[in-house]
Amino acid sequence: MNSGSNNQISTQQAVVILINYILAAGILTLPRTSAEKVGTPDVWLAVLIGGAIAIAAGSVMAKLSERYPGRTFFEYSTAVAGKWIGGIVSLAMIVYFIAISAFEVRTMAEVTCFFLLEGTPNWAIVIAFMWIGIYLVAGGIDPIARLFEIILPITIIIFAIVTLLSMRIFDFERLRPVLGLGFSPVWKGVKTTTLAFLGPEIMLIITAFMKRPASAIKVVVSGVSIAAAFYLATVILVIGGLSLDGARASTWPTIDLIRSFELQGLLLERFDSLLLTIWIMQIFSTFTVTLYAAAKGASDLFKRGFKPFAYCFLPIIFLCAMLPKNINETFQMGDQIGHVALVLFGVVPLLFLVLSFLRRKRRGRR
Amino acid sequence: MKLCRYAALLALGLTAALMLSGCWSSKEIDRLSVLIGVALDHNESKNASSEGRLAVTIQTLTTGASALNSQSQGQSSVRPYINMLATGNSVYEAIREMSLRTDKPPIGHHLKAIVVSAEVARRNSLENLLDFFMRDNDIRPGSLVFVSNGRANRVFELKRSEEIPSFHMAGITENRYRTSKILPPTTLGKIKGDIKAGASLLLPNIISQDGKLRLSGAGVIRGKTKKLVGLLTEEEVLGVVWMTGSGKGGVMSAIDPSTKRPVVYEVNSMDSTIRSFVSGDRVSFKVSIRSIGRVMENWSRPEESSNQQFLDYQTRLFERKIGDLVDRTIEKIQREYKTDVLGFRDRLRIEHPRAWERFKSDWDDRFAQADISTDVKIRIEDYGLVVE
Amino acid sequence: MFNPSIGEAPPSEDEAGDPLTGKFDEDMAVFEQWIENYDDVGIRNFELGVDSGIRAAVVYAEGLSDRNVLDRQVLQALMNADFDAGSDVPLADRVLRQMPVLKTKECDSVRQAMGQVLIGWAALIVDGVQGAFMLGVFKGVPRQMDEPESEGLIRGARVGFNENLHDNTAILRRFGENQSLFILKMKVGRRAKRNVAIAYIEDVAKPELVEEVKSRISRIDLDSVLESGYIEQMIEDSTLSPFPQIQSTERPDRVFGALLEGRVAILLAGTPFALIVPATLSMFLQSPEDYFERWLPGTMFRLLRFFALMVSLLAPSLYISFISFHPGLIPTKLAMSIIGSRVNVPFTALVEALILEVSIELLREAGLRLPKPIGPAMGIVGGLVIGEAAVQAGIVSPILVIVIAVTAISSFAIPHYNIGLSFRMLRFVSMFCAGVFGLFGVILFFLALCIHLVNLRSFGVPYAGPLVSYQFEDWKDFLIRVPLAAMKRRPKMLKPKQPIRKG
Repeated sequence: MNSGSNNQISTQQAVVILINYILAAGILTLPRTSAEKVGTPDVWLAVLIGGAIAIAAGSVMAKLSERYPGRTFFEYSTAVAGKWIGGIVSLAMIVYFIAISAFEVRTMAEVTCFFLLEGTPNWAIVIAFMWIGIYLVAGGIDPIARLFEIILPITIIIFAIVTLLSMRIFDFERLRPVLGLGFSPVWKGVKTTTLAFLGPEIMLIITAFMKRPASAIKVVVSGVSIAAAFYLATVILVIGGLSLDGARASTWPTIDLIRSFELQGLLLERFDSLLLTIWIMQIFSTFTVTLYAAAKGASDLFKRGFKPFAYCFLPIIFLCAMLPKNINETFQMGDQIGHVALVLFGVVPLLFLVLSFLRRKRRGRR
Repeated sequence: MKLCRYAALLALGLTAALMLSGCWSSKEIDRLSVLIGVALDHNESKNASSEGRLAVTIQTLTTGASALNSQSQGQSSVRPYINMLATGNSVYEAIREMSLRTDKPPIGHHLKAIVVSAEVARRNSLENLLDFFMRDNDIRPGSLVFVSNGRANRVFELKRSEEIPSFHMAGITENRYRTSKILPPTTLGKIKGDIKAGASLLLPNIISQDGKLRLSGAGVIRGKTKKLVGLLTEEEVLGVVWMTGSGKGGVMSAIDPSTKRPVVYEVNSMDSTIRSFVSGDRVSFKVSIRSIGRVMENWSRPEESSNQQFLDYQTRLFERKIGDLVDRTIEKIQREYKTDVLGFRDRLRIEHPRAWERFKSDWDDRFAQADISTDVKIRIEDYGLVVE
Repeated sequence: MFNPSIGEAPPSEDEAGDPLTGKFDEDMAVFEQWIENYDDVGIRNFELGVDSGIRAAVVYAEGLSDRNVLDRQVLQALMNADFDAGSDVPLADRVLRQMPVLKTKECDSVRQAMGQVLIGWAALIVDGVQGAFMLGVFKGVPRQMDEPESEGLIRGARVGFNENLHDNTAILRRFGENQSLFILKMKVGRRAKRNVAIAYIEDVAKPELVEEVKSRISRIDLDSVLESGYIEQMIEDSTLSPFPQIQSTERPDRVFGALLEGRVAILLAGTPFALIVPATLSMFLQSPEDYFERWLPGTMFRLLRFFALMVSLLAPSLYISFISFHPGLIPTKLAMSIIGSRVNVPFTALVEALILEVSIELLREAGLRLPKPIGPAMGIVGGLVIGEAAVQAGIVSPILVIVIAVTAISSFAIPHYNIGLSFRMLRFVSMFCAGVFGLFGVILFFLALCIHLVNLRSFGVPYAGPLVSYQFEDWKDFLIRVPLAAMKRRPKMLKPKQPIRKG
């Protein structure tokens, strides 16, 4: 059902989708949230560990999906865990995807309002954004993959330029001492950094579209590693540029980093516009992927068409996005969603995988 | 299905129409006034209309400022900037009060200089004074912060009318390649980090002499209270720069005792390494200062400029002079001001993190009792174009 | 018998009507009746041979049939030939043997014969032969195959297609002996049928593609196809998209290059513009010169063109967003200049930009319509003078004039006219987006544009081909141009039958 010729994505495209999904609001807030928890400049170690955990969890999900080629999680969940449990878990995932969508859109609206468009009301920004999103999602997985292939190189190039320029105010001493207070502060930050790597759960869906599902685990490894490279660079440069306390005191430390220097005489003296551009594109990619995942999930679960769900979820996401009343509540919402995700995608797929092995064994014995 | 499509299209059309009707954040650039400098003073007037303890002066560009860039012969009598004064209990309040008087709202994207008068800095915490600037979304962390010993808004008036004081101030700080009496730029971003960490810092002191600006010395801000506790002279700032090795150029002149005439050393590069030692509760530091440069002016014995022996003699002369300067500066900062504005805390944090955890809460006092020894080494690479 | 009644289309010539009986007088009478309304068709009666007594007639159309050929090779040949009775070779064969005409065919109804006469065949009716001989004596309207004006190159053959279909296919054959170059003929148009030739290289092009092209052309249902543009509009995938999905060109080298990549060319009689199918975005940004020059200049100019494309699309909208929404993102000195220059301008940046853009479009159109001597001068003078005057009058700011001028110049650097048109339209959309949401609007517009490009397909091939696929082989030819020695493989996206070029 999911293998029409226009619906197949290559391994490369899967990697690109994964990277674009992982990179989202975290780029702007990770330096602060992780620095708050860790308290020493060893945040980058926490990032590495978080990435490793994400790879592990993602591999479980990839392996699980691999065992049911051509079917998304929502299609085989009932086969693995029975109608009721499978259905409930699927429903929970759909709700999760909707919530993440709303959270990302809201964060984007906050930042855009704050730095770019002061007088514009939140809802106008969100609605315009969502219309372009549905334009993309209505086409299915193929245009999504292709668009992401355009967005990713742009992101990489601009990110590289902007971060290299920030070397002007980079001071290596701010990153020392390494492990000065031992390893325990690092552990405190691992949960925050792992949550920044939320994204491999998409493997539960896109593995069904892959031309070669066997390379799903490779996709997870390369995707998370590249995203980890981004996060690592961000964290190191922000703490090196702003110092740990500066990062802790900034609401959006990455933007503050870019705003801290100006290159006189160049065409573009100030580079935060570039960073905001790629960031908005990254949020767009995350939003469209989650909307797609939610709509596909609902469509698979209830065995109906895909497009009506996509359109219907739009107003739901809009309302959820407008729910938090201020920026603190927005951050809280993100935290709560993160906690749910840890269970939903850390523990549950493992259980499913075990169940799947057991079932196969049982069938094999027969 | 068709109905869904039509409904979607209808909604799209409506929202499109809605959006065209409002360009909410659009504000033409020529209807804004560009804020380039802010000065904070103590409100001393007893006028009934001026309430609050702060007198805020903002400097904005006039539209004629572009005449500086274009080809037209400048009418030098027209100043390219305007200063406006308002009072209030807090900075933002005062700035907004000016909305009663001006037709163009100010934007802070191009703010270049924030000048705090010494008076205000003594009485108010720097964190409070700069809070608005750090919080605002317009104002960039690259804005420079100064203190001024005297009325801060005096530095916003210059005699030569085509110069813009805020730009001028920002420009002076770029002369670090030519003199060692200028501290590394104290940007808002850098200060934010220091203030939030509770570190003590130095702010350059800018004053107005005969209608001209001069960067002279620095103000010492104590980390705990975030208030000004004193001022350093230009010589002392020189000492600070040498001690931290943060200079990018400059000269050092010494008097040759044998001839009582000056010799001048030009710095190519300078560097300082600080090592910290902790034994129990006592902390000590060793500062090694290294510099490479050349002899640029020799009144003492010009005929012996290239003589190696004389060069060695000069080397020792300079080393002694610098060593004395640095020691005196450290002495003053330690004993009189009892604040660590020299960056020793960072060395301790990096080299002895556990000890730092213990000491950081009252670091300034501990620092006042630390042992600091200095050691200077200079290498004279050449002596210019004149050989004897 | 054909009697034209008002509003009725003439019956298709495939229907047999008025068959030729072989009796000379009856047939000629039918012919006379047919040509009552065609004053440009004539009949010449004569006798075969010197003294044979066999009557014959030639029916021909003035201007369409070549009089010289008819005189010498038909009339003269037949009149001087020996047609003595008493040979056992059938009369038809004897006639054919004596007639040095290359193209002949036979026809057995007056309707069919008339149809052919009206396109340039001459009909030869011989007493005693049932049916008519159709002689291919077309008169060509030769136009020099000059380099097309709109696609001139600095280096490259000075050849272009002309209006004659056979000349055009001949030129394609002239690119070298290529037995796999297949040329198929079809007819389009209901009322006025025209010849269409489909050219492709058999062992390179995907067979499904060729089939698709053939089926789409056969489905065209128009009265007449005046220009290849009609074909283009009828067979393209998406009529709503602002982007052209089929490339039209007058240059044979472009066409042949495309054929070698596995594409299919469509040539229409009567127009020098050939169509190349499927078209992808990268094709519109390339010029054959890129290949004729060495790879370094080729790469440099490609990159320059790509940059010009971005500028022509986004420059005014970026101006609007920075001036109206984000004054903090431009350098301080620049902000000062802009403020100073905009002091007297009463309009918002969006309105200003629209005024200037619309004026430039008007100037462009006007320049095209004016007669040759005045046209270019009007364009230049108009641009300079009006721009200067507008600044003096305080309607627009000088910086905007520069932005718009750079935009206009960039849009001229795009090698194909029709994609330049698309981007001109899109520029207005991007200006509106910038006017409402500033930089955010420009970003959304860019995303929407990319989504559209990604969704678009031309005959099954993704339109934004090399931009999107990470198939490295295709990138070798998109933004940069690697040395010829390295371009061994054909573009993968077309899925050609033979992936490796023969040399």
